[in-house]
Amino acid sequence: MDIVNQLVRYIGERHPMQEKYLEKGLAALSAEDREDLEKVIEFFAVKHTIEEMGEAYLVFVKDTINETKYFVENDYSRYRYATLSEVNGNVYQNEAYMSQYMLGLQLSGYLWDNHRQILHWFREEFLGYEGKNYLEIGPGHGQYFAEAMNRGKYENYYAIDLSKTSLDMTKEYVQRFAKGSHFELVHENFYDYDPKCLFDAVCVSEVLEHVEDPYVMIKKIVEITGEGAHIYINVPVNAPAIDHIYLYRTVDEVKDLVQKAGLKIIKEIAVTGNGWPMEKAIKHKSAINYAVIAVK
Amino acid sequence: MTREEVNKTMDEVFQDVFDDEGIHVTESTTAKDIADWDSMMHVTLCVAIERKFGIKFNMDQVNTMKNVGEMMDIVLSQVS
Repeated sequence: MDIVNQLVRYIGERHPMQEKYLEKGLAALSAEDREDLEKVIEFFAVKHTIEEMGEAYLVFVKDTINETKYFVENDYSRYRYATLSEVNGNVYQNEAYMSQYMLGLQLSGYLWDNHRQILHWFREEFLGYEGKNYLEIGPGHGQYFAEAMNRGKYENYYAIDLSKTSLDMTKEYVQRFAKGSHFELVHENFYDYDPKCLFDAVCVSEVLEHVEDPYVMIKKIVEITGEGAHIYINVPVNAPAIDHIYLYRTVDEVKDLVQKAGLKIIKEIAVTGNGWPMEKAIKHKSAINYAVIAVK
Repeated sequence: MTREEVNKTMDEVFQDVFDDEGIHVTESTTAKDIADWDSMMHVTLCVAIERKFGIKFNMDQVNTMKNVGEMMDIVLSQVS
């Protein structure tokens, strides 16, 4: 049995709902995606056993289900937490938890169809532009940052994150999977960031649901980018998680926010979390991943 | 409440949650038997069952229950 099947079997034996979901996810993987997933698991296998990887994924899933239950019990009206201080200590500054969370999240990037579709769209639609300076805010596990370094056409790559654990993971991931290029990792709160250059591209993927006032963050992005800069924004709608504090109820809410900040949306994609048709997902207030490319 | 009564009420909850009057569950029904029964809908289903029967699932039960029979066991252990 190969390493992918070993991991999926471990998870499925411990979580019946995931068994069904992952079987479907694996069947939908292209040969290239499967190969990428194997490489990522082999990369993690240097430090972690299959059991540890499986448990990390299960922690991520169980915490998401727990938050989903809270969301449903409250008639889809709010997430459990609404401020950064409520989640910062337990998640971002908790190295042991953060390492598990990021590992689980990264595995979901390949195993969950919605995350995989969004990643493909990011590669194909956002990384074709050119410029000098590229910034990612909140690189998480480093996958998007490495993708940008491998496929992007920029001279310098920067990533900023509040979490030291996240930056350490990004560094290791980039050193293993990204080719050459200059990169710099900044451990700082983005609101305090005072860069020495203007950026030609900014990636902010699954970050704007982790902040108390996303408009302030988008305005700051506008301030540090040059005219004509491309900005990739990816936000989950109706998607509870242990550290999601800002609830977007509709795709239009996200769209309005981006446009209100003075950005022009030139491309967009919306993918339902469970593969349902969009109308059905909206009716059931089920998770939707929405991504845009906007121009300053 | 008898097991048969719980099963009958469970049928109604499933039909309502999945918006399908053709659904009829048995003790051995699992997520694999109902196309839309995924993790998200599992939570919606659990909350609907809690409200219908006035019971509460703990998170361990939510994450590990394998079939409708296990759901019925938990319901019956909490209803008088």
